Amino acid sequence: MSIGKMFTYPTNRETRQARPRGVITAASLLLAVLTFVFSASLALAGGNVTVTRTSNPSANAAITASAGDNDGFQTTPTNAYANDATFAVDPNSGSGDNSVATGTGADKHDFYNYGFPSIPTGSTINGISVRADIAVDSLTNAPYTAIRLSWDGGTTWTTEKQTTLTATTETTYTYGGSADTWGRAWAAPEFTNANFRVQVINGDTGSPNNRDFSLDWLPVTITFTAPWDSYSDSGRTTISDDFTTYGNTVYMKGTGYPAGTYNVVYFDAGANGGQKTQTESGISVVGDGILNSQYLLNTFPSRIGGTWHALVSDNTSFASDYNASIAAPDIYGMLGNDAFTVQTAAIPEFPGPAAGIMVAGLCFGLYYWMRKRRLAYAKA
Amino acid sequence: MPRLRIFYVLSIGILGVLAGLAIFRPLVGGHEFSAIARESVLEEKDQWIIQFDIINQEETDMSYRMVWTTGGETYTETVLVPKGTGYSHIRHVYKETVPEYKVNMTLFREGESAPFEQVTYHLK
Repeated sequence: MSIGKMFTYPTNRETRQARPRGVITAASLLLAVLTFVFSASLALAGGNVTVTRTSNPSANAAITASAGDNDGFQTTPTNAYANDATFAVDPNSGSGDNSVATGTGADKHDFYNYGFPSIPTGSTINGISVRADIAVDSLTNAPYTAIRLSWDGGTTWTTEKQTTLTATTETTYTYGGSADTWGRAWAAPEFTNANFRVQVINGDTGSPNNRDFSLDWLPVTITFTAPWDSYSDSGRTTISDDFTTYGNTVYMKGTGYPAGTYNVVYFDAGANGGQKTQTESGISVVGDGILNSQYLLNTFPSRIGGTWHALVSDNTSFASDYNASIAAPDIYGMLGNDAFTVQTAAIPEFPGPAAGIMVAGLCFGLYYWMRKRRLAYAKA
Repeated sequence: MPRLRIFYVLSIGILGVLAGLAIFRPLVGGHEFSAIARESVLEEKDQWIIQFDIINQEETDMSYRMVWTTGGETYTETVLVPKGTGYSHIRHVYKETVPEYKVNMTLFREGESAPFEQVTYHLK
């Protein structure tokens, strides 16, 4: 409908035609604004986010009985602590039949004291990944390296994972993964130095035992989900991942955190995954293991609505943006990550969508008032 | 042109401009500056809680570096604050960690050696 047409004094017939078109136009405008406002919530998500932490061994011991030639990586085994092209070497590995990893003919060597971070008690262990950078002198007789894990200081072991080596030069082999728990449910205390062990087993399918295995690096990566959630109430009884209203506060709570000092950092949904919005540093957790923090979402206008994150660190300052922070969880000492949705209406003093609704409402009201005046003219 | 029609067109135009400003320039800044705002110190049984906001009203996004010195220990935090908004920092200071009851906080703009804010909290 043209504006010129709208303000021409109409006949009764024109009035009947113009009214529905005007109503449709105004309703469409309003619908477009409302769609814009609510569309954001459709694509957003919240909830716990997994954390990955990687550590290197700092102690080792060859298995000296019923394990091949009973000396494991007998040459410089400490070289497996770092990725530096220096090697722990197991020359002429094995004794007799070393084709079965768990048999008595294969050399075995334990690596431990990984110094993992204090994973909160109650965390879900999503997966464990062992990286082994290995070289071998020859691929004759299909040399293999197998890995198995212990959670009780070497008393009990998982089923081993075995890989046939594919190159003589140093090659990275990965055992397990971010969603592989090696056939059992793990608990946080099982990653202490006293409990966690990695056993490396070397072997091949033929004789004589003349394969030389060289191990450069043996890091372990744990993927876990910490008990760290967002709540809508200060009593922290109702977990909420969606904050929609101006004046909302997000209340964070973590449980099972070991006694110590922590930082909690909030990232909005801005550039590079989000920008640091608030840091609460130096929070002390005592014996109850409870870590609390909170953020009033309308503290600053112009923060970006969408998926926000609250990260926990072991009193280390995070990077300014979210992507850089989660890219280096070990550097920043990350111990928790929770995502929640913050609608734009919950943030600024005068939000854009609210302005849009107001403008649309004013346009509609003005149009309606003018239509009434026009009808009054027509009647007169 | 009927007066009502002119009034209508002008109203629509003005409202459109206001809507655009509300969306794209929600903050109307006067001077361009960085500042600390809403500074507070709260004493609890075993700790003090120091809180303040960094407000960036500069022309561009700004990086800030804050250095806390508490009882001989230093804590450093770097933050990028987008223009036109702010960043909030809350620092928990436990009483047993500050025998001299004194906490220093120095705030730098990134790349500058001279601080633009230097505060000593005497907490006793």
